[in-house]
Amino acid sequence: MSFLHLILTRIAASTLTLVLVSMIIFGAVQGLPGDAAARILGREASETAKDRLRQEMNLDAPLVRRYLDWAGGVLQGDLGKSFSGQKPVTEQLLPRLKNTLALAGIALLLYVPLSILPAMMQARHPDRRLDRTLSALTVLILSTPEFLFATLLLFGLAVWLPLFPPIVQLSSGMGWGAWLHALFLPSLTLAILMATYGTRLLRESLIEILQSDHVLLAELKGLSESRILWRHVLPNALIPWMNATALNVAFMIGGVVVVEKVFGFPGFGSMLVDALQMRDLPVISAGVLVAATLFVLANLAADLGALLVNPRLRVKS
Amino acid sequence: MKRTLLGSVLALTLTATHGSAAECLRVIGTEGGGPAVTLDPAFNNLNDDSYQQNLVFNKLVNLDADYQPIPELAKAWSVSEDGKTWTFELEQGVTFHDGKPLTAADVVWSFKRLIDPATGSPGAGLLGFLDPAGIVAVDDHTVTFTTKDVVAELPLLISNKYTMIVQDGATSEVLKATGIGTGPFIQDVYDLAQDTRVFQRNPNYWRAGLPIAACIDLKVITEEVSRIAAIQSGSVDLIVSAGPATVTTLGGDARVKVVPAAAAGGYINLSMQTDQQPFDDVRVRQAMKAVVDRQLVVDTVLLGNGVPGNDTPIAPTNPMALTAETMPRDVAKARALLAEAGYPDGITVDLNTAEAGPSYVLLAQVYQQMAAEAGITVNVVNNPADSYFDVIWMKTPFFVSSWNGRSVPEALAYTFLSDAEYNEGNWKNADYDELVIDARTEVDPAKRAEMVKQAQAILAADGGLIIPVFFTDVAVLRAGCDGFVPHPSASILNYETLTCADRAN
Repeated sequence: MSFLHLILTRIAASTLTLVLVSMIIFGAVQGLPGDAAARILGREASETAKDRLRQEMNLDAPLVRRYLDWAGGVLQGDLGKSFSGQKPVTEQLLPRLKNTLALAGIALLLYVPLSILPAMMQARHPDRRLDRTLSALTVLILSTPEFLFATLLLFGLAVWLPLFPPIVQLSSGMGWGAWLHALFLPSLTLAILMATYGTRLLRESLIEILQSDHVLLAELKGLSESRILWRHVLPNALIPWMNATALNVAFMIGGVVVVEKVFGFPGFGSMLVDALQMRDLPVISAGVLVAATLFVLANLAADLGALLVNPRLRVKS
Repeated sequence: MKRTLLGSVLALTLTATHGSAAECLRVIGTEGGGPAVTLDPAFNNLNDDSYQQNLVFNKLVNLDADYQPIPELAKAWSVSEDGKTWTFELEQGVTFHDGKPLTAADVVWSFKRLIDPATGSPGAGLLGFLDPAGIVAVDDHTVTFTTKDVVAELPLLISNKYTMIVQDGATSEVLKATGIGTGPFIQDVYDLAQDTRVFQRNPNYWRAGLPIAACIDLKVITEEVSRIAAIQSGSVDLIVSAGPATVTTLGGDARVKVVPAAAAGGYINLSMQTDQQPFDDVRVRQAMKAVVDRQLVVDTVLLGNGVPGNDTPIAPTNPMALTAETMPRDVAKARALLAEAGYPDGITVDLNTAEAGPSYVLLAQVYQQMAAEAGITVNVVNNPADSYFDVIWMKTPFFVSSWNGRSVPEALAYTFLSDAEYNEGNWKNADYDELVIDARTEVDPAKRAEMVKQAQAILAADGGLIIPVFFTDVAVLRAGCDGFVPHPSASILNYETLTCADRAN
C-alpha cells in the first residue's frame, strides 16, 4: 500500500506540475515581444498582408479563451497549426522529436559506459596518475563551453580525421548503417558533455563507499576486488548518479540545441530555435510543453528508480 | 565492454557509405527560413526562398552583374514610339516541369497575380507603374505591357526577386510547397521536417546543354564554423554566400576556392530619423556623416570584402554613382557643424543594433570609436536579434540596417522616396522625389544619368542615412567544383553551369 501510494503521489504531483507549466508556457509565449506576422512575411511585407495573417492566426481573441482552446486541443492530441509552415504542428514536431529522441537515445547509451568506467578506474586507485589525469580531463571538458567543445569534436573527427560526416543529412531511404554513422558524432558529443558531471559525482560516492565498513567486511571475507566493486559498491553509488542522470536529461534538452546547430541536425532543438525566431507561437508552446514533459518524466523515472534500487526509501518515516 | 564499443565504432565508420543523395551536388545556404520557407515567388522574402526559387523558376528578364536587363524567357523586347507600350517576345519551345508549354498567358497571370492586392505580395509596391488591364497576351509568344506614363527602364523594373514566371492559374496555396516552373531543376524530395530538399536536372531545359549538374541537394547551415568544417571536409560542394570571416579563414586553403561576386552588392547602413531630435537638424546629420572613415569601415567591418560608400544606395563602382571617389573623413568639419547647430560641447546619441544581420554590432562599435573624436558620444544599444526588425528597426531614432543590392531606379525609390514604405530616415524631400520620378520617364540615357546623379547629391547632403560601405558577396566552392559566380544581388542565383569534376553529372 505505502509503496503504491508513494508512486501514485509522485505521478499526481508530476501531472499537477505539467498543468501549471502549460499555463506558464502559454502566458509567457504570448508575452514574447515581436510580431509573428512580421517575422514570417519578412521585414519587407506589406501591412495588408500582415493584417490578414494576424487574423488567420487568431491573435486578437482573449488570452484565457485562447489558452482553453489550446489546452483542450492538446488533450486531444491537436497541438494547433504552425503559423509559418501552415501545417499542423504535430506534422512538423513529430519527425523532429523522433530524430532528437534517437540522438538522445544513442547519447544515453554512450553516456552510461562513458560516465561509469572512468569513475571506477579513478575510484580504484584514488590520487594516482590515472585518477589525476582523468580528473583534469573532466574538469577541462566541464569548463569548456558546449559550443566550443562541439566545434572541436567537429573539426577533430570530421575534418582533421574524417571519420564522420560534419553535417547530418537524413533521408527516408537511408540504411541503418548510414543512419548510425550520421548520428554518431553529435551523439558522442552530447554523451561526453553529460558524462563529465556523472563521472565526477560517481567517483566521489564510489570512494566514500569503498571506505565504508561493509566493504571492509567483504574484503576480510576474501571477496575478489572486482566482485566487491561491481556487486557491493557500484549499486550503492548509483543512486546519486541516477539523480545526476535525470538532471543530465534536463541539460540535454538545452545542450541538444547547441549540438543540433553545430552539426546541422534536423532535430527538435533547432526546430524550437527556428520557431522562436519566427515567433511561431503554436510551435513554441508545443515544443516547450514537450520539453517540460520530458523533464518531468525524467525526474519521475529517477524518483521511481531510486525507490526500486534503495529499499530504505520505501519505509514510511 | 570498452573494446566492443570501440570495435563497433570502427565497424560503423568502415562499412557505412554515403547514401544515394551523395551523388547530388551539395549546396549550402547561410540564411535559413525553417518551415516558413516558400516556393512562391510572390513571397520571396528570405534568402532561403531565393536559394530554391532560382532552381525551379525563370524570369522574363534577368539582370546582369551591372543590373542591366538581359534576356531570359523573353528573348527580345522593343518599345513603341510613344514609349508607353513594351512588347516582349518569348522563347519558343519552353515547357514547364509538368510538360505544359510556356505561353504568354503564363506571363500575364504571373504579373497580374503579383500586383493583385488580394495576393498581398510585398513585390506589388515595386510594380506600382503596372496596370493589370495593360498586361496583354497578344499571341502565344508575345506579351505587351502598356503603362499610363512613360517607364523608360521597364524591362529592368519588371525584373526583381518576385517576378519569376509561374503557371497560368497557380495560387499561393499550391506554390507554397510545389514549385512548377520552367527552371533548370525540378523539385524532387521536399521534406522540410527532415531538412531535406533535392532538385533533379530538368532534361527538357530550354537552354541546350544546361544545367550540367545531375541534381542539387540544398541545405541551410546557420553556424559559420559548421559551414567551414563542411566544405573543408569535402562533404559539401558550394556555400552560396559566405561572410567576411569565412573568407579570411579559408583564404589560401587548397581544399576550397573563394569566388567573389563581379561587383559590390548590398550595403549596411546607419539610419538617422530626420524627424527626431537631434537628427532633425541637417547640420547634425552632416556632422554624423563627416566623422566616418569609410575605407577603415571596409577594412575592419568587412575585412576588406567591399568598397566604401558615399551615403547613396548606388555603389561608387557603378557608372551611375554620384562619384567614384571616397568622401574623406573630416573631424574638424564635424565639430564646426555641431557647434553651428548649437552643440559646441558635442552630443550624446543612442545607436540601436543587434546580431540581426552580418556585422551589425561591429559597425555600431566602429562608428562609436570614430564619432568619439568629434565629441559625439554614441551609446551602442545591443538589442535581441530575433525581434529587432519588429521592435527596433524603423521605430527608434538611430539604428543599424542593411539592404540587398538593387538596380539604380529601384534602389533610389525603394527606401528614399517621401512615401516609400521603408523610408528608414523618415526623410521627405520634394526635389529628390521629383528627380527620381522624372528620371523614370526620361528616355535619353545621358539626361537620365544626370538626374540620377543630382538626386544622389541631394540625398548624400541632406538624407538621413549613413551608407559607409557596400559589401561584396563571396561564394566558396570545393576544389574540383566550378561554374558558380555569386551575383551582386543575393536574390539572384544561377546554378546552370555549376559542376564538380568528381561527382556524377
